[in-house]
Amino acid sequence: MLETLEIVQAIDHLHKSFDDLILRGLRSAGSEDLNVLSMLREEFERIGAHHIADLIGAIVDGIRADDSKTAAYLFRAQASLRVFERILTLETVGGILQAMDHGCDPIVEAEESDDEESDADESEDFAEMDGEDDDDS
Amino acid sequence: MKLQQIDKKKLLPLLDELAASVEQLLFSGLTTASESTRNTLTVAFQEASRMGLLRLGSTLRSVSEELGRYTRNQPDFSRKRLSFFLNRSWLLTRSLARAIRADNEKDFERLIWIPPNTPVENLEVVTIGVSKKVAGAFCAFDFRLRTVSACDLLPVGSKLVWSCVFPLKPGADLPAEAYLHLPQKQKFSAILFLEGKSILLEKVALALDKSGGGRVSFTEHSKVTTSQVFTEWGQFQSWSSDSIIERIRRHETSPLDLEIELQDEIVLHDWQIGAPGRPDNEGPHVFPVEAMGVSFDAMVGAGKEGEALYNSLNKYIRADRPPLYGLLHFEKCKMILQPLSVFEAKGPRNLTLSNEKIDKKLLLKTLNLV
Repeated sequence: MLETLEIVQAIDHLHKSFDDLILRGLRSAGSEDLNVLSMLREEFERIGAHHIADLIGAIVDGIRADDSKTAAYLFRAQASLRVFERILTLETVGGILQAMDHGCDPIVEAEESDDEESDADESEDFAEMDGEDDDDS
Repeated sequence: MKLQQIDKKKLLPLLDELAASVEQLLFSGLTTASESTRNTLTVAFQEASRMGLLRLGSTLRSVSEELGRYTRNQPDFSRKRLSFFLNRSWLLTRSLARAIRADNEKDFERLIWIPPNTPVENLEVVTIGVSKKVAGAFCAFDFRLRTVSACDLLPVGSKLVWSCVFPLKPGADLPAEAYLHLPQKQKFSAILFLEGKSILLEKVALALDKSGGGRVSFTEHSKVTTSQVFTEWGQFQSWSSDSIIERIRRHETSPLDLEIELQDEIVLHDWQIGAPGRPDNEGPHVFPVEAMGVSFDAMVGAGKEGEALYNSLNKYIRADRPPLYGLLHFEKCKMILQPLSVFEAKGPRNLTLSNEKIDKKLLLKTLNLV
């Protein structure tokens, strides 16, 4: 459960970073913002959420290059993060509910069924958006 | 609505322009958001709604409202909410455009997602809980119902919800509960749902959901009356996790998911509750609740909206605790509980509504209805 808590904290931290960037605009992002994003990229690599880590990397590179596609990268990263959090949450609470049903210790059951290190499966539509936007001028 | 019915020549440029405007907003930030960007969003919301793309329309309206709060420097502006709805707008816009270009009927219908309404001649229900929301310009109530008679669509004991929304009169110092006394178009008052009696619904519409329950809506021909005092509340006081476990197992996660779309109605017996905290200074109060060896976070809105519930839950920290009924959903690996009522000997007692007596004459006078 401690590991799950750390992952949730990383998800929260990344969400807040994205919210800040949206409010101030990608163009206003400075070195401190890039350092935070880079740190979070390493954290998500460590967790095993490589797809999200790659998207954070694309955002950092896009900001540095003043690339107009960076906004799309950020929206994609937000959506990926949401899916990741939902899958993690549903696996965790599913374990808790199963344990309630069988009269077991729900915390132990949740840890044993915890496999949140794997990347979240993207919804089909969302994954295919990567190919579509590459065609945009 | 079908894909063949829409005007693609008009809709596709609108969707592309909208996606570009949202991306531009993200690029430059809110402070430099141009008047033209805001106008694009407003026009897009109106056009989407006019074309029947209600899911996209309502999302764009939320973006516009939040942008408005930001530009007016209102204290209830939420960057989290704006970020969420901007992302949702972009996802819907991009996905709809892709589905239309690919002539993908299935994806298009999934994205616009309008649950069909089915007419029902007669239905008898009782109310077991009410949730209350008070926003700046409106108050809304969700009545949680149970069927006590079978109909073609639903067996006895099915879960339904009926929502009513009231615009708040600016400057009127009235509790939200006062608006429940106002007559609906069908010539009944929502307060009727709180009298502890069974309620007879005639000529209503049901939108069924994946959990086996649904949403009730009224038409101009609907009739709502009360029947006798209901006494058989015991049948609604059990809960099993089987159904929600199965729904979680079958659920296909999407970035368009809302947490409350996968929620269950739960009854807790032998529950304990601790003193509240407020982890996020701007957010709701959180009461820790324990039952069945599991921890729940019971959320109570800040301010007037949550006052009655906050006071009720505070009393139960030390007092005897009857079975607790509420809504359960899941967020950030936590079990989030929205307590609504407790089952006492005579039936459910609402926790969310104030017991303040309402002067009906004053109410009607204040709202200029006499």
